[in-house]
Amino acid sequence: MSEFSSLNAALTGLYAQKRALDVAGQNITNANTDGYSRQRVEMSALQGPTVPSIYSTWAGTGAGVSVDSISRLRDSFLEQRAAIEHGQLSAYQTRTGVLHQVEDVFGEPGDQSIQAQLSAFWNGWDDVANHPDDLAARQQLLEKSRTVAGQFNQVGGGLEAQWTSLREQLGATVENVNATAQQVAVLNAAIQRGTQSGSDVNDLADQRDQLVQQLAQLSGATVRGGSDGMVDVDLAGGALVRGTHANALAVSGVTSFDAVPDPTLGGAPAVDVVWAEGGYSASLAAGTAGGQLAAINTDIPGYRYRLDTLAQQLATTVNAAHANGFDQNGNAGGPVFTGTTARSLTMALTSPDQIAANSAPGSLDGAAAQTVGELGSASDGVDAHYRQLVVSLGVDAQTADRQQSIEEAVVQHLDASRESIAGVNLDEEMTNMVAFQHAYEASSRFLSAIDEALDTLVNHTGMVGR
Amino acid sequence: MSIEFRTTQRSVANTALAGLQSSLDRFQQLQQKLSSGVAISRPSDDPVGTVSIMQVRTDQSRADQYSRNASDGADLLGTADTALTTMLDDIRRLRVLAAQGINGGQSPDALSASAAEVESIRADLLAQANTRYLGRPIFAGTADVTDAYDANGSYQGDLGVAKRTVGPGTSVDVNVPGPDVFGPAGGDLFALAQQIADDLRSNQANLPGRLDQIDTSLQSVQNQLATVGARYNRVDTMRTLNDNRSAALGNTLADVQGVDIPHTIMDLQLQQTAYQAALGATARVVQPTLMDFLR
Repeated sequence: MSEFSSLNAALTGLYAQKRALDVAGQNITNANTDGYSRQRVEMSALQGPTVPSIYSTWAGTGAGVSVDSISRLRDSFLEQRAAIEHGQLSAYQTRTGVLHQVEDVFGEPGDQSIQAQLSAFWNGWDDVANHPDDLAARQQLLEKSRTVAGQFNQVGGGLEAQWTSLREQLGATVENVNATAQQVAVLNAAIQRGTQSGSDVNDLADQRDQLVQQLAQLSGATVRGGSDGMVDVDLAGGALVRGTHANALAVSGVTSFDAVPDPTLGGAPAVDVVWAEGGYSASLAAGTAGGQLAAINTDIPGYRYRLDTLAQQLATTVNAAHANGFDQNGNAGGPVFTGTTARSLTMALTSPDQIAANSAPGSLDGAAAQTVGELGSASDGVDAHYRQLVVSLGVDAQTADRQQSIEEAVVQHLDASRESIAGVNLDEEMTNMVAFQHAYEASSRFLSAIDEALDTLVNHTGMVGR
Repeated sequence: MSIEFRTTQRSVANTALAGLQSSLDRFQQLQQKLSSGVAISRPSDDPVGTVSIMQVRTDQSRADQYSRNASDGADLLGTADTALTTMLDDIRRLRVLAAQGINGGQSPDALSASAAEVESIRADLLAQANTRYLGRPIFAGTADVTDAYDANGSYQGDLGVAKRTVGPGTSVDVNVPGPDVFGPAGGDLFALAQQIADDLRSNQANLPGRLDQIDTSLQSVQNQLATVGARYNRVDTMRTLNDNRSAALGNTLADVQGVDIPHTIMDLQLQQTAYQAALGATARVVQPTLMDFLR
């Protein structure tokens, strides 16, 4: 080993420690950057020739240090799990939000809700039964009937408005998925070129991984590693991103709430997310889009059809009981309500004397009105069925709340584990900085030591007796 | 190999933030409960509680209506009771006048005066029989007429029975049709009174027979009065029952829906302490780094 190779060894030390200091600086400056993974300089000692050749000798010391790579500390298996759990959490969050909105639409337990209006409606019949000739009581009953029908219209309309808005949101979510997938493909291409040319792609990979997590949250996509530092993104077995190519999704199905079939009947979903190419279903079950699909196809239509059944039951039972009575003009009672859905339920009586309160023409016994008034207390009446509807809504929303909070805990732990591996600890970086700084100083001191030795050799040797 | 769990400034900050957030969230929920006064504001807060509230509210509203129905029935029966009591006095006076006519020794003037009084009693009886409650004659059955008996004493109404619903599936008759009280058309109390007046003037020999007829009428009115009284008691009991039930349901509602204020305030206090502790701990943990100690 020559003296000059020691100079070189000192230089490699200066370079390597300087590089390590730079990386520590990069880590510290990005300590709070979303999606940043801490980096580490991988150094190795430069050895002498391992295969000695003839006429060459090796004193045994190494030739300095080399910087092999700058690695990005990230656990790809944790990332895969994070994608799955984040996708699941997004679906739960979406569904919880929808169910809470449905609860708001129903407004139970409240003073203005369907239940309260029904109670007032049944009581109105009793007031008419007590005084069948009292125009005020009849007028009031008409008003109460109109309010009940109006309340059904409002809740039915509220569900429709919610469905329409969710249908639009699903379109926006799918567009977002397509744009993000495209970006992932573009970044994959950049990473492939960078990896092949041997340049640093860590920050590009961070950016891409963050987008992949977004895809997972939006659509429940899963991720797996590919070649040349690229990743593939899958959607229920289909390929959303394959290397540098992204496949687009589209929304198919009905656009009007009326066209959505009753989910309890089974059959194909009314609205679905499909692959733009080929048009077959992407089988979305998780992510924001998965949650939106479930709400669009199952939750909201489910409540709607149950409410429609109730509106029908109200119209049928009241009309049937009313038809047995006779109105002020001696005619048999006509229908009180028309319409077959919650949104189309309409009060059909036009004047107070059309209320058929009595059991015979010309009589004022109020018996028919009494019968109608007691309908509300029936154990299988509209009120009882409506309460069942509200209890299942409450249970659904509560279950969704719980699923969400469990999933939140899972995601929180997972994110803590990811942060534990990829996050920047400032104390650690400070310690590293001190270590690298000292090594840098020592390397330069080594350089000076060799320099002085050479100086002695070159300038002060052979001067004896001069 | 044990897995080393690195802790970073960011994870400390995240954990602290999540802790503070959930603490503040619970704080807000308690505050919302206290300020709204209701423990259940949406079905998912407590599905079973929600349905209890809805059921109790419906039951309470129904009990109030039953009470109102019973109250209306009681008023109607009370009116009938007053009318019948007054009529009993009139009928007794009728009997006295008829009995005086039998005894003889009365001058024709006195008899004619008695006859005039009987006629005025008859008019009064008719007026009582036409007693109205809220504009409708109470002895006219369920017929849509203005008077139960016209000036000639002929019945205008029908034999319909008006009922009031005073409980689930329970109803009480609240009227007595005229013929049931005053006798069938032609042979009723008003015809009898007219006959007595005529007999007093011209045919006193008929009067002893009339006395029996008066007694029959008296008995009939007394019987109906007893029936009316019994029904009045029944609807009045039902009114009280329904009022009590409504009050009890109100208590249940307050129990299910209302906020336990002392308990909630205690919770709020505890939550406040926890929140302050979390704030204090966060302030201590987040601040220092190695930089404070490296020189």
